[in-house]
Amino acid sequence: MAVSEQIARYILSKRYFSVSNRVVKYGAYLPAPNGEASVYRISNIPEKEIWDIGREYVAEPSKRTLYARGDTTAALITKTGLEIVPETTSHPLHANIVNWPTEKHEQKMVAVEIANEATLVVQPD
Amino acid sequence: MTAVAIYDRSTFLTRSYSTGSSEASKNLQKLYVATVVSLRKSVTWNYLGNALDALRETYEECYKGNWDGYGALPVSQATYNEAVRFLSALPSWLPIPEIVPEPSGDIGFEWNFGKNRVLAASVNGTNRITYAGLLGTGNKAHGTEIFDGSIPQALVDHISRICPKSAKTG
Repeated sequence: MAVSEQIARYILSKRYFSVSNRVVKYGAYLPAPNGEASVYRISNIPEKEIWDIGREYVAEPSKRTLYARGDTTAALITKTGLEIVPETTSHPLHANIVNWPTEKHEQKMVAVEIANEATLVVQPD
Repeated sequence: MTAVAIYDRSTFLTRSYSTGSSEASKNLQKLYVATVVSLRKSVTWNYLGNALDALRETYEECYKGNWDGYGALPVSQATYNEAVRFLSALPSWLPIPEIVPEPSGDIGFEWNFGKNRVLAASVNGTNRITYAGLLGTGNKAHGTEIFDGSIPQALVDHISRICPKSAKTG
């Protein structure tokens, strides 16, 4: 995967972003209990299609509302020591962020660093 | 059935646990309630009250699993109770944080003062605080602290370091 690739993390909780401060909160990037954070590779994908993927493959299966997404580059994620591994069972652009440190405070540190650089994109009405 | 006890802002701190019947005990009780009522009128209490409201709403959103759509663990009653104690123990001059539930079931608190000035801390009902922060360009800190009912000095120092003077409430 090229380090310049754009990576999107879809956000299904209102607690994970602030519209007024234009920030993604660190919780959005913490790994799930299975040790992975699910993301999508969105380089050169039209905006409408990016949102369609989020709604169809992330929000609808879990019966949640898609509120926003955090965009970063692959380079930002991999420089923290994490890896992005394609996992295309559900969708050809799906991937997982893996190789998280084992200690919870170290995971939090990495999530804070990624969120600090992420760009918030709120779903258009 | 799951029993859920939730903080009620209208009675928080003013519930009477005294069983004393002497005149001195009754006077002490009146003084306590009057002090709390006065405190509630202060700006600090309003900030804290709003944060406690947000905490209660977060708990109501997250006490069942998969609240984030990615398989998050539920937030437990013990974690919620500890989060209430954490918020209530914050020094009055520190800004009130935003509530950030975590996929592990922890309840987190975020102080975000802009790029590279962020501190996140969380509790999970085991009297341990996990924290991580960016303390200005090139500086970061992370670790764990015991929560014994007061906010650890290391955490206060980190927040103070990134907090603009204008954001302090007292």
